[in-house]
Amino acid sequence: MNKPIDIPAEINVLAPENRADEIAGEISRRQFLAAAGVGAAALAVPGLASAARRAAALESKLLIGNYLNYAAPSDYTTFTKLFGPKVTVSTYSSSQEMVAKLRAGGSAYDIVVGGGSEVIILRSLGLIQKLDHSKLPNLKYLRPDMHKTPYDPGNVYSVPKSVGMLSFWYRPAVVKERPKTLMDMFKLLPKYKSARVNFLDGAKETLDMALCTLGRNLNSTKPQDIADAKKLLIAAKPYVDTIGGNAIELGSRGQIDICLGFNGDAKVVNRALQKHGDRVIFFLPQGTTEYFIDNWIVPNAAKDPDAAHKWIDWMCTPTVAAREMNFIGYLSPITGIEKYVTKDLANDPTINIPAKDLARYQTSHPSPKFLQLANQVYDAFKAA
Amino acid sequence: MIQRIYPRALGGAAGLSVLALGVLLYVGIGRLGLTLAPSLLLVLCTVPLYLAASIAFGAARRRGRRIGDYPLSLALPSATYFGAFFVVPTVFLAVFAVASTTGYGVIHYGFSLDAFRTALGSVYREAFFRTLRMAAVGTVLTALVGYPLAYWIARYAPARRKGLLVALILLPFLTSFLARTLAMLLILSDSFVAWHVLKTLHLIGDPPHLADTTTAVQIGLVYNYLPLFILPVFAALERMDWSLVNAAQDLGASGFTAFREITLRLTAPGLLAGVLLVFIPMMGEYVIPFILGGGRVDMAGNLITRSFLEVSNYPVGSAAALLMMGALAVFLAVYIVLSVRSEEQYGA
Repeated sequence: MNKPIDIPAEINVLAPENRADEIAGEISRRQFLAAAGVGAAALAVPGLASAARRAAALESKLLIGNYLNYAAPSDYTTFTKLFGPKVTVSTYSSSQEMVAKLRAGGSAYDIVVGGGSEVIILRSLGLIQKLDHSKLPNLKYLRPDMHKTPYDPGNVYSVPKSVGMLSFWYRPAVVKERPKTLMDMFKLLPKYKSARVNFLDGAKETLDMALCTLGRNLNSTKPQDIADAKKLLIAAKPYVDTIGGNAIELGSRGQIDICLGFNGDAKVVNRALQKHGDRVIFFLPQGTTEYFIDNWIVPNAAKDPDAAHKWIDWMCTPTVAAREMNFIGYLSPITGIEKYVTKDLANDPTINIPAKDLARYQTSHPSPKFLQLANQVYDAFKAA
Repeated sequence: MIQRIYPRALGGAAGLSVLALGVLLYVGIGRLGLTLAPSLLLVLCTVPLYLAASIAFGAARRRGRRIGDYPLSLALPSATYFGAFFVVPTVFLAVFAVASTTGYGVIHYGFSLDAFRTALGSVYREAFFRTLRMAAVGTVLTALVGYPLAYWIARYAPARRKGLLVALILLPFLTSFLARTLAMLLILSDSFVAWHVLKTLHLIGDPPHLADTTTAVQIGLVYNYLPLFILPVFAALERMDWSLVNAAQDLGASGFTAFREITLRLTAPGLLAGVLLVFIPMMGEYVIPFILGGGRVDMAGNLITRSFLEVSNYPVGSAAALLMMGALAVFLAVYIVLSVRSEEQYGA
């Protein structure tokens, strides 16, 4: 009874890859139970006991703020099974809505998902906390360039989650041409009057896209650029049927013919449509467009910061990152995922964007002035 | 002696409960990181409330014994509610409306009319007039749809069925407002099964493209507010003495003249109440355009919502909200004048 039980530091198990985490979690829990079961003996393996205590110290819940369909629901339940905290998800439809929710207080998100521009804004408002890297050992799996993102070098406040880009996707059954640039698509809108056209939600994203269409600097606040962007949008308004419609849901039912949206969403829509012999084409614009890095961010108001760190760390595990990528359709910035990612994603240039295209694309770093202008343009666009 | 202390105590209790709510809000506001200014103002604004409450109770007692038959203390719960959730937020709006923002929308308290300038700008003005038009059309349509039904129930429906019919009108309220509106979205969308059936029967060509249009919003407005119109109008028609109409017709008035000269006039207060009950909420509506308008039909409420919930420009949102309240107060004043006059004339 008093004889310390020899618990190996590492156990090798032959198991299917997709169940690896679950099994790993199961084993570590058994190790913990074995250690706890022998009472005093547990003290003989201090390293493990403290690990177990640390695991037990996680809070009992985790509130994640995210865009709709931007994480695999099965991972929420798996996380609870593995580590304990019960995951609740609350969604928002635009980055600005998330920032506004954090500013208004009230919603105590433990984690939010936001782009580089949100990291900048939330940081300047003092609403997010520095990450404790000692709780994020799996950061080592992050792609090297993701350690020095322009908005947060060294991942002080943010850990990249997904990389995506903005362009149009359309149903070739309706649109006969093959547009090459964003402007091509804008020019086609009047031709397809009865096509169902959806634009994404959010003032910032809309102005970003309009500026890119015109080939201007994405973060421009020059009056001429803004006026031209506004003109472009308002001229297109009569052909736009919905703004901020749920692209994945409507698209998957074949209810969107032309959509201004994101590459990953188009991928998910395609998977649904292919079952009915339909499809959409998302194109990499030959001109410029916006690409973005979305991040896990921990707000100051987080009530469960340890669980939040655990989640972020877990998300950086290659198997989990790959599973997420397979579900949401967006490129994961984690290394070592290649063998777990489905071929249709890994080989798709619209998801795994070639470096030569990426070099042409821009990221958003909005100044306060830009946001103010974006809101004015968006209000005018919606009112037109 | 006891009778003298009693109203004061009540007034005091009213004031204190408002104060307590103020403190609770103060604690809540503190968490928002808006700094001290609004919280302080909030507490200050409860002082006149406290004074007003005790003066009102004192005055009510002094005015004579008879008023004691109508204990003002019964108004206490609603006074507290209105104080806490109407007066206090309005003070907030006023504070925000004259504040200004810098950087990524950080609020600076002070006195600036910039927010009002923006809220009076062309985008907001157009949205206001569009909203006014939609609410006016919606109200007229609601009246045209609702009045005949109320009339029929009040005059022709069998007496023992009336309760059931009124209950049926209230039935939609048993489902959530949001669920009802989302259900409408399905019905108005081109993929609704009825359009396919009609098309197969060659009764229509293409589906009518109703979803995500101003028309859809208009239909949604009428549907959602219809019961609110029917009920007061029914109540007024129910009290009608139909023998007056019969008498008019016996004396040679046509059916329409009798309706215009007697029924319409006698039920005017109910009609007016119904109109107001649907018109004012329609003016402030933002959920219906949000869902049925496909995000491309902005009513004034949507702009105000967006300035709070997305743009985080509290000053502009507050200024627009106050201007909207001012504009609606005009309609309310018209209602009060009209209803007082019709009461004097017809004693309804």
